Amino acid sequence: MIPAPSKTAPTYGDPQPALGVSLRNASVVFGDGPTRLPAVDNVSLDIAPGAFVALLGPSGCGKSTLLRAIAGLQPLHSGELSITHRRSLRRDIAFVFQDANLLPWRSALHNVALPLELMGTPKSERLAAAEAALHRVGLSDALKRYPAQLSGGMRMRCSLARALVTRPKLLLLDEPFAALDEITRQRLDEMLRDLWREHAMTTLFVTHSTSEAVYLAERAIVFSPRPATILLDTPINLPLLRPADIRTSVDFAHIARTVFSALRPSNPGGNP
Amino acid sequence: MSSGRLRRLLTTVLPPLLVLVFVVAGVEWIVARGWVAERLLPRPSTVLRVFVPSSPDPLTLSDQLDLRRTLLWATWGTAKGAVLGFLLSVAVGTVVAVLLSSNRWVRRAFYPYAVFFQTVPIIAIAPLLVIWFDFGLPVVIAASFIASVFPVIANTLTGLLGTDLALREMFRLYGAGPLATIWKLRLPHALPSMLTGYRIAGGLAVIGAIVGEFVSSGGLSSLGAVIDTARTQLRTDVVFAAVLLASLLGLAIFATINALGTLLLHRWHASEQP
Repeated sequence: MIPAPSKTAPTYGDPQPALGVSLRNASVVFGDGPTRLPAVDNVSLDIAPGAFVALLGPSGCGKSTLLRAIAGLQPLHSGELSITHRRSLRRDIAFVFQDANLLPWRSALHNVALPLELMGTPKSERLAAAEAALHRVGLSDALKRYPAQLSGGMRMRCSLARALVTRPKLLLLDEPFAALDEITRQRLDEMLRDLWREHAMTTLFVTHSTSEAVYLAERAIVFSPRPATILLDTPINLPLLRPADIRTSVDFAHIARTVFSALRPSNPGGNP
Repeated sequence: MSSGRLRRLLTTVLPPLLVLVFVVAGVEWIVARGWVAERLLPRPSTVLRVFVPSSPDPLTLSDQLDLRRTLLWATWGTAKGAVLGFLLSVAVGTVVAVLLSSNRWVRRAFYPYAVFFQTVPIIAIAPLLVIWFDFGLPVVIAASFIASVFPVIANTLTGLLGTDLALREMFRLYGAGPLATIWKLRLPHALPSMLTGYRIAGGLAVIGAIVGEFVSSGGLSSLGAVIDTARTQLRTDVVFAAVLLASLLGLAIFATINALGTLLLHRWHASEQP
């Protein structure tokens, strides 16, 4: 594999650098004996600070497991994981799940303030930060609403705001927009791309969708079916600023085809 | 009240009310025709007459005391025991459930003993309670507690253990300790099932209290004692009147818990959405 060049987002004077991620021969195995199930097999990977990397692969291939391992939620069976520039476990990593995962008994504002609350930030400070984060994702008029009163897209934006409220240096997203309709999903992709450019944060995005990966990321990594091994690692050389209609450009289509053919090999002897 | 609410009230209240009217009228008719001896099954009108203040009470049950006042006083006595027993169940049951939820091994070791409270025949150990606590309110509270604590433990535990894995992981990711996780995630999540447990426990607390009163409270100070005394004098009308009051007491506790549930859940939980 060619190590992919990665563009680094501007930091806007934030003194804390984004985190780099490095995996060496990482494997994850579930269970033991007859139920032993290898999920990730011998993956080595370097992700530069400030990169935006999309992780693709068929359902259940282990890419989510890999993301959870990077977050520290899943221990490695063997191999090494190192995260550079990390200050503390709590502050620097944020995780956005497949579901919005909001606490239904809390308003949007108090949901977004939760991470800071758990870290012991004073109340006025954390509520101000939560309000700012909600404002950034366009939910200023929904501060007091409960999750049951928000649409699916609004819930996901609230979830994004919650992830951003701690100003993470490494943002991990596990198919966050998969359940949304196409238009909402594209809007949120555009918002996420802007957020990445504004904040100095390394971003890893797990998705099924080729076009979503190519629109969002600076680099795409395609994994094989379980256990996950790397099939393709390619830079996405599109401009830093990506208007919505870049999805219809020739360059976009060209990169998308490369990623797509790695995801679904078309040779007759290959997987169906 | 809007016409919509009135309509909803009618559609929820009317069907059970009609059933009540038919059953009561049916019993009245069957007994009035002499098909069932009134000594065995009093006519509903006779039972209700117990509550009429002007009714003379020529029987010896209360030594010419006003029967209605006696019954109300007895209801208050039972309410005290049942509510205190219920509150004890809520307090102890919640703490026990939190402890059981903390660790799988703690759960395996102690949960069978919690089930014991569900399976112990309360009527059989009630005399034992008299030996331990002497006569009076403590026995009633203890019997009420034993009868009602298990549903609190079981439902609270189910709620505490049912939190979403992703939410627990998020709490872990942000370094939340066990106390913050219980207080900010597990307990709020458990609240709807806790309230279900309380609804079941409320009715059982009344039953337990009356069993305790059978064995421990003398005279006419509680519904259990009134039932026991009236039974020996074949006053089935008074027995039925006391049973009716006991049911209404259980219903009042149930309604209070429901109101509390609506207050706590109306903003976020599906069970309280229109």
